[in-house]
Amino acid sequence: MARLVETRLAEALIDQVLRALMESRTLEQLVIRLLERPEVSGAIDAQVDRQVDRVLKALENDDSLRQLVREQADAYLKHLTEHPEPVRQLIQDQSRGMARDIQESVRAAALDADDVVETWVHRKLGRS
Amino acid sequence: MTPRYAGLVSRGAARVVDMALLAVLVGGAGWLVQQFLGGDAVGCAPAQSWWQVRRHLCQFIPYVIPVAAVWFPALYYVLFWTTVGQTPGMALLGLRLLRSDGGKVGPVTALKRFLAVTLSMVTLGMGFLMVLVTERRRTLHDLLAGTVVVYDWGDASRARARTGRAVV
Repeated sequence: MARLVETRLAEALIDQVLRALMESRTLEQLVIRLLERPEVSGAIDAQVDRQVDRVLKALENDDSLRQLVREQADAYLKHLTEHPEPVRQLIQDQSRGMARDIQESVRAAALDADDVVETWVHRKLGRS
Repeated sequence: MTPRYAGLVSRGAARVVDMALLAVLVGGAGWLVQQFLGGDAVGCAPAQSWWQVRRHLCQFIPYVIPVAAVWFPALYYVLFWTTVGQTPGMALLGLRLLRSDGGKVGPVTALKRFLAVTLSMVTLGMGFLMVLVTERRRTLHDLLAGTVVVYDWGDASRARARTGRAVV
C-alpha cells in the first residue's frame, strides 16, 4: 500500500515538475539559446539527415511501397486526365497573378523614375 | 481625393507601348489588305475586264495604306480616350486621361488633343518635355486640349501606401 502511494506521489510530482518546466520562459530561452549554438544545431542537422537517409534507404528497397506509389500515381494521373479543369484553373490563376505582379512592378518602377527625372531636372534648373 | 499627375517616364512608356501596338495593327491590316487584293511589291496585275473587282481595287493600295496610317492612329487614340479614358499602353502603366476639371474626356477634346500631339512633336519633343516643368505635369497637348493625365492603379490604397501620396 505504502509503495503504491509512494509511486502515485512520485508520478504526480514528476508531472508537476514537467508542467512547470514546459511553462517556464527561462527554460524556453535556455533551449532556444542552446539550439542557436552552431555545434548543437549542426549535430541536430546531422542526426536528422542520418535518420532521413536511413528511412529513404529502407523505403527504396520496399517493393510493396513502390507498388503503392505506382498505383496512386496512376490513379492521380487518371483523375487529372478526367478532370483537368482544376489544374487548368490553377495554372490560369498563377499566370494571371504573375502578370499582375509584373504589371505592378513596371508601374512602380515608372512612377519612381518619374519622380527621379523630375527632381533631377528641377535641381538642374535651380527650382525647388 | 487629390489626383496624382503622371510624369514623363510613365507617359513615355505608355506612348511607346501604344506606338508598338499601332505599328503591329497598321502593318497587319496593310498586309491583310494586300493579301486580299493580290498586290505585291511589284504591283497589281492589270485588270482584263470590269468584273475583276479585286484587281481594280488593288490599284488603290498605294493611296489607301498611307491614309489608313494616319487615320487609324487617330481613331485608335480618340476611341480609347473617349470610351475608357485610357489607351492600352496607358492601362498597362496605370494612367488615365481626364479633362483638367476632372471630368471624362469627350470626342472633341480627344480629337483636339490628338491633333495637338503633332505640335508637341514638331517642336522637337519640347511639347512632351513640358511635363517636367509645368504645374500638374501637363504637356503642350494637354494645355491646348485642356486635359491632364493621372495615375490610376485601381487599387488606390496600395498605391497610396507605397508612395505615401494620394492616387486617383
